[in-house]
Amino acid sequence: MHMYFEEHSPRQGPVGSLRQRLRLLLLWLIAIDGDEDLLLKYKNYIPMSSMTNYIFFFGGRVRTLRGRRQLSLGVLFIIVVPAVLFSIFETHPIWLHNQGYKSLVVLFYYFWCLTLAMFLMAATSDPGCLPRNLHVPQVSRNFQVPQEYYNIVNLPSIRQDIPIQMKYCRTCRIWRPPRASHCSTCGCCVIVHDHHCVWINNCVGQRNYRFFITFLSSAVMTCILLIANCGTHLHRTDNGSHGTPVSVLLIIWGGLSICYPATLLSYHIAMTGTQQTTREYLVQIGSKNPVMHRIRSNAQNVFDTRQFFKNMFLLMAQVRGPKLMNPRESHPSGDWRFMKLP
Amino acid sequence: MTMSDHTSEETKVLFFNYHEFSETYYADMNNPALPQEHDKSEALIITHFPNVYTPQNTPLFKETRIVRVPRRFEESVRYPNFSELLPGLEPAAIVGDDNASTGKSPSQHTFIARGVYDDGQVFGTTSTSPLSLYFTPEQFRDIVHEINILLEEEYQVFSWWNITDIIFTIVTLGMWIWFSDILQTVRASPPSMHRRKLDLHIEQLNESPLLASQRVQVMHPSRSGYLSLDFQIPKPVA
Repeated sequence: MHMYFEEHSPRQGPVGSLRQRLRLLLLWLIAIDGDEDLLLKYKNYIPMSSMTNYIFFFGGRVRTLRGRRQLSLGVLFIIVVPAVLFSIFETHPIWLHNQGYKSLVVLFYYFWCLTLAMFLMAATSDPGCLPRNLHVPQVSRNFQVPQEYYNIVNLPSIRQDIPIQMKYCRTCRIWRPPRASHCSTCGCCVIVHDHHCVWINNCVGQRNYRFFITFLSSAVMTCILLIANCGTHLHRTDNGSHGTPVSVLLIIWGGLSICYPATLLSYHIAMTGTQQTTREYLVQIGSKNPVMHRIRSNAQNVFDTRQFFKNMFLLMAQVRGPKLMNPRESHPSGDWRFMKLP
Repeated sequence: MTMSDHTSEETKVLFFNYHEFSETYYADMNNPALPQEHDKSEALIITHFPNVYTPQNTPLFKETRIVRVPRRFEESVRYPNFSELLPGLEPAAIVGDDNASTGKSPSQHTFIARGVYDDGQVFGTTSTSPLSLYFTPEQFRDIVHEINILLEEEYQVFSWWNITDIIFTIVTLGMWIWFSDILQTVRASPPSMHRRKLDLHIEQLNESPLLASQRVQVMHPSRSGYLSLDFQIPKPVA
């Protein structure tokens, strides 16, 4: 099956000088824009880092976007700081309190860890990038795209009255299935594209949607538990807020930081309940700003099952599927997926 | 009938292979070195494409072509599934009068080269692809149907594997993903894991006499991002 790999497996000669070893290590750590001269050039993440806007770390295991405001670092700050303050000032007195609030502390740490893990997974994993150049129409005329490929193609669907629309992505040279779309920020087509999230600095798509939803839900739970823990501490302290100023600070921190994930989560519950992705919803309301718009089901949506919870589950728990472009695999020299066609 | 007619048809949308396109500037079979403009009614229909699964400088690239079987949405939109109609038999396929004169029924259509285009490749003037030289419509339907069934299983949201995957991801704080990724790539893992089932099926299919003896291969759909089911065939000759 994978004969194209076997026949042209990369021939890796002996690694040369110490200097070259160091360069290899550095490239393995951070691949920003693929360097074709190095031995690692047969690893997919090297050409992927120059074809898309991704930077890869640790041999393609972790990714983020380059040239963007790194808002995800700000989110990381908002997640980490209260946990540090909580561990220093709160955990000990609450844990030792004879009324038994240990479970509250344990729950807080569990949800905090879940929030952090899901944030990192949503932000640094593959959202479902599609390979390029799969549907190259011809080699003659400099790989020209024929006129027919510029049309939006209507195909029959499960519902007679609603056709499925297919578009050809001229950047990626593929016929995109419904719900896939090209993200110009990431520089690739993403399968079941929900939206590009600036806060995690990554697209949200088929392969990381469940991490994103779990991140939002656990962030809300973490904030609630933070407020509950600190409230308990405050309540049980004899001289009130004067004795525990950090509790007050953390309650305010929790109260402020719950707003955004809670709002976003309720939007996603309403959107998935009507079987819409964020992108489809924004197209439907014809605005980039979802505030002050009602979320209603779209009559032209073939994916809609008309059952709220079934709709919600089908989208939130959608099968991740395999990596369609695995940065850690190798490829033969001249692999079409990494060719820059005119 | 041209392709744009298919897309503008509003009353009833008909299925066709959207990978096809037509070309009027090509060389005739008896004079392959001299491309010239032809009438629209004589346009070549491009039904096979360069093999993008092997680099351009390999012998395999020069010897083989790819026939792309499109996605269909009439059965379900919930999982990737492909057309079970042999290319050329779709409701809105372009049928010429090649076979009309011989009185053949559409199911007996076979690929007939009518012109030379795209670096010395031969093409016909109908949607019938060279895949018709290797499979009967029934054989083709069976091959794709089996793959569609496995894809439906793999993309089942309400399956024990998917639900376990979600629960374990949450309970283990995401560490389960590493484990499951390893499990799905290890050859010894149980074939009940649906992705392995499809891998095994495609391997067996490619080794089966029907495909192997004719030097036809099915590309694993995950390699094509589940966007099309690609058949690698020997380069068609006149």
